[in-house]
Amino acid sequence: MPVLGDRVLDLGLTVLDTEATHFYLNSSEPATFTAASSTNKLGTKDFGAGGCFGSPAAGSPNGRKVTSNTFTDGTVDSSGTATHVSSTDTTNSRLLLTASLSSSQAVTSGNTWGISTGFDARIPNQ
Amino acid sequence: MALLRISNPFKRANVVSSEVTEEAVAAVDDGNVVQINDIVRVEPGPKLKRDIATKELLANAITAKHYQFGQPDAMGNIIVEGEPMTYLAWGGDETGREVTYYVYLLVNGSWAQMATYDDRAAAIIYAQSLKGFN
Repeated sequence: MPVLGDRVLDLGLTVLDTEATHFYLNSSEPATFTAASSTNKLGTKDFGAGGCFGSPAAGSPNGRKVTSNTFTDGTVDSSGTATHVSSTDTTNSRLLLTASLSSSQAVTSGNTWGISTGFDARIPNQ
Repeated sequence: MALLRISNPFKRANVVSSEVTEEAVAAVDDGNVVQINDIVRVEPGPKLKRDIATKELLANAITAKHYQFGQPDAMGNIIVEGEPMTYLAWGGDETGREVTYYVYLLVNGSWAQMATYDDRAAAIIYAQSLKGFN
């Protein structure tokens, strides 16, 4: 099996770095951009392109990764139980990433939400 | 109040025509979201599946690696061995993604899932039938 060079991996991760515009808080794992950004949406954080993730860096134990930025001022749009977070390129209507929360969390419309510790998205090199 | 109440959003709807219309072909298709008009769209994604959680199912050959015992399933419920679980067919080490086509209708400013189809043309035909709901 071949080992992929950093540039190959970085070109994929750069999409998260430069094209991701939003984080969404979701009531279930979204299968599509539409589900993430509307159907299953409970909360929104609009960073604009380039604001959601950092630049590609060395991953562990191998490969490359990007790390999400943190925030505390996301908007809870609807009350419900949040189970997942997703990131999208809303400019081009693309779902880029989904991740489950460590535990479900009840949220209330009008409150704020955030990501207090950045999480990694990694592509292994083999 | 919602325009339509959906008792089972994953229930397969009836195909209303056997042919893809010229309008459907002319609809904007960017390779991902197919925007039929301002209130109807079709989007491909992994199929939502329900099965009993077993070691075999969660061995990463069939399901994605994030589905594990003690972790959330696609609905956010903790996966327990021997119990039903829901997962998206993203693919595993030995299986590819099972793609299905989700049909959405804009209802009161939010996209409601109306049906899913394994066949893209059938999804577009059904989506065409929803165009009058504005």
